[in-house]
Amino acid sequence: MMSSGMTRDAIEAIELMYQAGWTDGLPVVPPYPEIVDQFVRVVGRPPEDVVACIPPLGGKATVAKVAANAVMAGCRPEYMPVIMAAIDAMLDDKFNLGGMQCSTHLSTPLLIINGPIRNELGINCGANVFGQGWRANATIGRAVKLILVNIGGAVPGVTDKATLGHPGKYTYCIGENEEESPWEPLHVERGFDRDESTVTVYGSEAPHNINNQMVDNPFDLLTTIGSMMANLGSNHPYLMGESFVALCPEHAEVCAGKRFRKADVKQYLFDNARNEHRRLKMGGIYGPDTAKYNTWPHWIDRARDDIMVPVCRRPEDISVIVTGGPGRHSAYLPGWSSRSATRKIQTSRSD
Amino acid sequence: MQTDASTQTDGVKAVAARRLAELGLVDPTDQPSGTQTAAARLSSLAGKRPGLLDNRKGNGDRLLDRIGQLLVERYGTLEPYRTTKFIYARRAGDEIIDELAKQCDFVVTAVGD
Repeated sequence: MMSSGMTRDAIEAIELMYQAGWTDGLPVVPPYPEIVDQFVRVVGRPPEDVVACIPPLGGKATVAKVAANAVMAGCRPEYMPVIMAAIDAMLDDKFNLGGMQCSTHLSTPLLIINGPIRNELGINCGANVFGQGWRANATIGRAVKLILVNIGGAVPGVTDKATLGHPGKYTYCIGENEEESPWEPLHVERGFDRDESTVTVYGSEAPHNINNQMVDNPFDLLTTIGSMMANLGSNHPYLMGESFVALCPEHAEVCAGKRFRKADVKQYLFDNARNEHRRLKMGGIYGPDTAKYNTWPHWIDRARDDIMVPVCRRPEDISVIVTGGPGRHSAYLPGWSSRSATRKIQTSRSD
Repeated sequence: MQTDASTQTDGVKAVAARRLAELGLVDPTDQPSGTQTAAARLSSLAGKRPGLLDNRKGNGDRLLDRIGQLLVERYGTLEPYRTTKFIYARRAGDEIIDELAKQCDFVVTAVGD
């Protein structure tokens, strides 16, 4: 049992960590060395080993500093391999972490976990998957966000210039509901074995809910989803980058029941999530002169106002996952000028 | 006591960090120690070659056009060397930076919206 002296120290430390600028605005667990050491041991590397230099300011993420942030976030030691893999994924050049950390846009890394580790760590893939209530989701996601600020130096309002930000900047971590998906999961689609565990990082806005309760066919359902994807306030009609659709199991079954494969879902959305060219000229990131849009592919005929312009360059730019619990709500996860990256989670079992 | 990350003064942060170190906590932060130094300042812009790096945000080109014009008219610079990033959200490629360093005495760029 903790002595009253330790309790006083811990309470003082919690207040001091606010003053030191170490927290996200919520209380954090004091990173006492004996707790941090347990987390370092799981990684199996010396505490002073530099894992990565984190943008935008290039702070050195040593194993000990990563572990300290994980302790502060409320993690258990066995979560460390997920956090290490997520850092590695975020440092992939295509992910553009430096830009994301400083942009006025509100995207922030979302962690999508696949494979057996979801069940081993108790990562929620079902009801309320984007919401609160599961320690692994909440604290793994939070550890990553603390690292981005404490080591990367993305201080809100100072170096992190997000105009609005969103709640996923506290924590943003989900599992794919592989057990209730009619299709191959994301990591298998990306070349990993089903019994490997992976983390995919994706620079994401908050989930945009797509409600369709009565639909019994993929055409109507995907028209609903496509409408959400083509909204003019999104980056995608202009930037045409990658984005994610998170289908709930019941919506996925509506598609699979009519023999839609995942590739068919992507194709249908690519063909139908579109805007008429004249509508896009009403404005957007680059203004009304669409002739200057260098992010649009050459095969879009800018001379015609009546053509239908997609929200990405190819069907594969739309990533589809199945997640969440019972009910008929899916979500669109608009992104930014970034590409998702997937890494295998190295655990003692998988080595 | 102000406890918001973005408004905390460096002095308050430092005092708190010292006390946390005394309590034996592991420091979860690392900030670069300012090893980069700025280039020597130019004493005059007259006769120097400006670089204008457009980040492709809306109207950035117009702003840089006008700045380039003013540099020539008011400060007697040479005609600007003009270049653009592919997209504002990513850093300029090494080839763009190298070319700016080769062609120009100073560079004006946009970093915001």
